[in-house]
Amino acid sequence: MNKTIIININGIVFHIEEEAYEVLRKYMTDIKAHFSYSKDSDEIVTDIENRLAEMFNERLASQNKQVVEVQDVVEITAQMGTVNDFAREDEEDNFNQADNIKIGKKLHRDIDDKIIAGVCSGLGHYFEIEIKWVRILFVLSVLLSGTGLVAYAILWLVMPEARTRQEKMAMKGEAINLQNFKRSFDEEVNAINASYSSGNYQRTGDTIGEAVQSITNLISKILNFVVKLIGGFIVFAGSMALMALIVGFIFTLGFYDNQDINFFPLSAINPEYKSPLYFSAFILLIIPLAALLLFAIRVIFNKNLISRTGSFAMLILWLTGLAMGVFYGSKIASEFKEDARFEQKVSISPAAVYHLKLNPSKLLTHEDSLRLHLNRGEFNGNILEDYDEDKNNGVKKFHLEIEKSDDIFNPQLIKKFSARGATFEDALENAQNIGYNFTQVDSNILFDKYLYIKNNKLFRGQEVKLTLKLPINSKLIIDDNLNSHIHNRNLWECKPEHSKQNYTEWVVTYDGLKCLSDSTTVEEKP
Amino acid sequence: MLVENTQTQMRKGILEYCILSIISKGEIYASDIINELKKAQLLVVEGTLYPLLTRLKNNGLLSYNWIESTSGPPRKYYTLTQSGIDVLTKLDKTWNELLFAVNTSIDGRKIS
Repeated sequence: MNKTIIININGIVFHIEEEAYEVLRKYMTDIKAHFSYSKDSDEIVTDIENRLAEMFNERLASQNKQVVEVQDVVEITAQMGTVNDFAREDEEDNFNQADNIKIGKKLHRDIDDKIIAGVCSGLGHYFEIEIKWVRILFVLSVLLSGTGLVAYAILWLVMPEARTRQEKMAMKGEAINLQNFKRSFDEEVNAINASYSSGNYQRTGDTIGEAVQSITNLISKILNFVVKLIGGFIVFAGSMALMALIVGFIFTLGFYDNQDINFFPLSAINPEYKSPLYFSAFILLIIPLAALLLFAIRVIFNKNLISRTGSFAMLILWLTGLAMGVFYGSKIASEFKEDARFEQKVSISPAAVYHLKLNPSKLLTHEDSLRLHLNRGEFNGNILEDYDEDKNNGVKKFHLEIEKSDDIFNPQLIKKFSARGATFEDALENAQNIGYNFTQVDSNILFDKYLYIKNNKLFRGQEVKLTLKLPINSKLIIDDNLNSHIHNRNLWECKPEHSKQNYTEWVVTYDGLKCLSDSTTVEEKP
Repeated sequence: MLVENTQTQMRKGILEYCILSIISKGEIYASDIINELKKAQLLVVEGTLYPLLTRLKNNGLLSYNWIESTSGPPRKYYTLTQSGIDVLTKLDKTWNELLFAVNTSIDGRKIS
């Protein structure tokens, strides 16, 4: 038992088996496609249809049948000839000569390859640019205060969509001849078959179902668009970061021995490890970024730019980078293993009141002076500190403690230098190469803000702790900006409310440093 | 390729000449033209004929009448127009010339 369909060919009604109908439909589609380049297309196709109807009729009458079967369709269409037969016959027909005139390219919207309305793909066809670049340009231009949106809207209105095959071919600039036509048609049939077989479109006949489906389609399209938009941003930001990284890497390679970038983590790296470490850092950063970028491209453009082997190579490269980083990192870490410290005592001339200040000038090392060409003329090696506080080369600021002195008459400053190294000797050498200066002018004691490291030693946890030992009852005026260096006292505790002074006054007692305003009230007795 | 090209060119010119000749014998239906051509071993499939007829008609060499048919839709019966007859006369002359040219050229050659 077979299902039959009723068809009407130019006014004659036939019962035809469903399967036979499919064959016939395919045949007629081919025929229409074949002749559609001709201006007489309709007439020719009608002639053929009429003749087919006639032949079916004759065949049904002669065989006393009611229904057209597959066999009938196959035989009759064979008698009529397939598109291939026609193509052979009129291969050099003047149809071709007449219609092979190269039609200039036309600007159409490509509705077969669209995200919104096919404007970008149409432009891509017209200018023979890969469509994704046009889309990226559009996304970028949207970022430029939305000019892209306006442009898109206008183009959408102005550009007609490529509906017919002829328009589609004109859009792609293909010469309109039989071969191209056939190819374009085959592509279309394949696309339709694909969408049929994927089950997107089922003939339900249910209008509500169709409405629901079209709404779902719309929503999924919008979601798809949003995902692609986000992906586009990732691609954009990713490529920018990638570019910045590459530029940065090249820059670093060119400048890495320069003192200017001698800030903390880099100042700990031995010069001979710098190139491999920078390289490994570069790999560690660029590969995940590139992977993200490729993934985003895959999501948006459905294009896999890298093979499985390529991804593995990237992974291996990344692991190599990691191994390199760990290797050199631990080598550097090993140079922090041992600890060494030593003390230096400096006498301070006694005074009734000591005024502690931060030295506003920076002592430059010999190398600094040479580098900055400051060794000319009368220059004495000091310049006013005009550079950013945070931009120290990893060396901590000094720590200051103020204690009572056991020796009443000899105030002194104890400098404790400490540093680390691979061995104790190395550590001691590093500690010995710390420089720290303070100056006493009458009752003013000026502390340099930073310690410095002599002989181009690397950062190895160098520290300076200063202990100022003063006789009991010595009075101190401490500038506020020393607060961050003094750890056993908070200078603000001693600050009277609403005080506009930028210093606080202290006194040394048996119990250590006391605020002068407190001690005057409490410590009168002895 | 070259051989096929030449063959197609030769057949094509002759095909039109033959069709015009067949129609010149009197009003005729397309499928009868096919039968005549098949008898002459010129055509393989019917479908090839329709574009040709349409083109000849559009060039003013043919005209047709719709005639009711017992077994299906009305049929187109083709006849030659006056200009079709003129063209056929010219083609007759050309054909004789060609025949002479070809016969003279291949004279003495052995054709299997």
